[in-house]
Amino acid sequence: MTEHVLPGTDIVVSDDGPTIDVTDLPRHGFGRKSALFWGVLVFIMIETTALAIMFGSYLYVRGNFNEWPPSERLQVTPGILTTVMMLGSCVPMQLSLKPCHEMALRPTRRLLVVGVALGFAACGLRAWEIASIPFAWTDNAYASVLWTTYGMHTIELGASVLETLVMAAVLYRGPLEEKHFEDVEVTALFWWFANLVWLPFAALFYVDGALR
Amino acid sequence: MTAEASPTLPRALPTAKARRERVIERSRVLRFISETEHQAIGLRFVVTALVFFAMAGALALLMRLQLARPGLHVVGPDLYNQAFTMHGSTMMFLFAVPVMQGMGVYLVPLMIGAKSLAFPRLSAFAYWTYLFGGIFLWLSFFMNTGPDVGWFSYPPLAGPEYAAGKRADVWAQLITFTELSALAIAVNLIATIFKQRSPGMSLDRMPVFVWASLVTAFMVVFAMPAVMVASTMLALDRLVGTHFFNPAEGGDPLLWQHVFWFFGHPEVYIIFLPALGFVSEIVTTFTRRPLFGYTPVVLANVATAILAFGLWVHHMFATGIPQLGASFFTAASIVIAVPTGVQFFCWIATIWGSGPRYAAPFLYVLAFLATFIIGGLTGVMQASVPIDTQVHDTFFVVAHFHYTLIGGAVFPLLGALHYWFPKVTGRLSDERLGWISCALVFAGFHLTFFPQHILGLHGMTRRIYTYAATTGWGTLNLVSTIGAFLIGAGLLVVLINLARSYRSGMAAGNDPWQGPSLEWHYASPPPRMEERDVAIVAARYPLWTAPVGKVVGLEPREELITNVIDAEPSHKEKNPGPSLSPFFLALATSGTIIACIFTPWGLVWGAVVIALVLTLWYWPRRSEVDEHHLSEEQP
Repeated sequence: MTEHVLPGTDIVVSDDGPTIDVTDLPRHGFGRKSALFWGVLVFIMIETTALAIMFGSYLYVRGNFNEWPPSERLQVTPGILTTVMMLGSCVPMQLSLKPCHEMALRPTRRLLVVGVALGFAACGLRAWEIASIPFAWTDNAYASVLWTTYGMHTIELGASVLETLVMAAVLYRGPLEEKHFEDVEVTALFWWFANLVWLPFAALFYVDGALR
Repeated sequence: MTAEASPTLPRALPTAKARRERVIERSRVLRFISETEHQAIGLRFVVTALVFFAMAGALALLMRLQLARPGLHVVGPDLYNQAFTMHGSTMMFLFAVPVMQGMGVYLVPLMIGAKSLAFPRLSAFAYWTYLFGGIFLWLSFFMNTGPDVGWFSYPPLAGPEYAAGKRADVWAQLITFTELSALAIAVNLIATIFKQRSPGMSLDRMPVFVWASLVTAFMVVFAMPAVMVASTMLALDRLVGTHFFNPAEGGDPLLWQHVFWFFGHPEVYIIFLPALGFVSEIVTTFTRRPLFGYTPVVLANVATAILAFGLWVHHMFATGIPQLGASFFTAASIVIAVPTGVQFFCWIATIWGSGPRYAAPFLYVLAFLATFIIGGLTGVMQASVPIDTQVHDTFFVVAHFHYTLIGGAVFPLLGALHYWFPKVTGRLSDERLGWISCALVFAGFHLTFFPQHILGLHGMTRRIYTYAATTGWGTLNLVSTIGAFLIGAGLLVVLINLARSYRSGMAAGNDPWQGPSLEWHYASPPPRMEERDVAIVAARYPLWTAPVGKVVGLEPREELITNVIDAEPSHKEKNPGPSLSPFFLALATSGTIIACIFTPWGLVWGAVVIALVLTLWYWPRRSEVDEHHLSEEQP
């Protein structure tokens, strides 16, 4: 049998046709190398689209009112505190990426625990923020859009905290495969999304619905 | 790394794993519900969708019987309202989208030379969710709670004031089921196409159907959330007293129309683009020529997808929108004909002088070319506001969209079913019956729907359950009804042909049509992932040009991951294999969605159950750990 390697490639051409031997390839890949990364990115696109439609709906019903806001003004302090806490919680998640890429178990899981703790704090503040909304969703269309947006985003926020909690628990319990570190990376990605996606709504609700 | 930290294989591994596999192997039911292979899931999607197609088709025949003559009482107005709503909703949400996605789930991994989908368990979850949603809708219908406010469920008719009972809620929750499923498949197809193409299959070597699946998946990602949000708003208005669509409290029924059609118009192209992919594949194979203008065809797909998001308002011309808006959306609606025109000319150029082989798949493509062009032209007519205002809500519109949806999607789908039948079953279908079915369906289709253009121009509105003899619409309606039964007969011949061939057709071999793409490289039916090689390709039409190579060094349940643009090998990932979790998650999700019709607490309690099932799904089991993939550090 004759064999030769195609110049500039790993492809071996023999009488049976070309072959590539992938025995020595790694068993994980981070970032855009990973299929999971793309999957989570697309899920984030889906959820961003859903929230963007709520944003548009807010502006759409806004045109139907002569006075704005049509209900009592929102209190901004709980909202701003929640938002600051959400942004702060992104720091440990971002820091966890370096040990995660090095597959260093202990620092990775410690930072996840810090992130989860800050996430729970943000959820607590969000509960206070929701309790302080001075009108019911049944009052008018503005109230309906605002409450529904809060509901949708709080589900995202809660889901990201619970997901990270489970991730951290897996890192403490095992057994661990290399792919679990890919999972940590996309958990952090989703965390960034769940927290940052609130910023346009914070501007909309706190400025347009409260401070204006 | 320390010596203590090196990976150790859990001792219980072989026994626990073997025990679990033995239990699943022994029970046929468990094996069925834990299946995650893409061929099985894809086939289930297609077969289930065809069953729903038949059920919705039966309702169409019922409606045609009712309208055959003036003043008939085959069904009453209430059942008629449910019939057209069920027909439209089933065709759009339970047939057209799932069947196209099912074809993608089956074919895409084979065409790109992957062993499986990127997220096989997610695809199983998508199937079960879809199936449970379909069963839920039809059980509701059989219990006289079928939705009755039209497939686009406009408020205020569908709102709390005018739609008492739970019929409109059933529709709103059907949307949740089907969109969840469609989105899960879209994510899967995008990740699979981006990351699991065979080495050598750069983006510009992907088969056109794979391109169409990719573009469609992105359309699903941006379109489906709109209808999920809209149906959630509708459900909230009905269940907890929000005012999204209540003008008395600052809401707006037109908000529904905007959000719904922001989904609804791209939806047409979500159904249509995969069908164009079928056409390109079939034309290439049956003319035995590389597709003329591969790049323009791919770019036309992308352009159609982008433009599809910019013309939803043409469904709302009759609501009195500003003139500038009307002009913009008229222009956009006309422009979208251009990329489809480009594809038409490319197919004609490919076929021209090629001496094609006139087998059943190619006949259906010819039926498509002749029929869709008419639907496309009536579409361009309706882009004009004065014509649209005149024919709005008449049978002219019914005729138009059946020309585009049956002509544009069902004809290519029937061609595709005949084309890939040998790959799926390993047997050839009967050519003579293929010709007969195509002739019957084609003649029946035009007999049914062409007269409806004229009925619409004569003023026959949609969704009326009967009409007076003095209208003069009786004869054309009778012709239309005869045509509908001819279509039914044609589809029956398709069914008989495929069923007979499945039992006793001639053996097909790997590549009965001498097709150029990778799916024909594999055995028919294709082997499961453990026995499947990952191919290496060096050309756009690998089976026509150079020998197909193979990748060595993969474990049976390992997938090769390649990079997005050039498909160069990057690393290997483990395929998780069969699991019962997707089935249980779909059960929990279905319970939640149905409970939400009756109480908002359904969401709260459902979320707890879903979170628990998801955690169990994700939790690593010692019996599933693969020694090759263990992390160096263990807790």
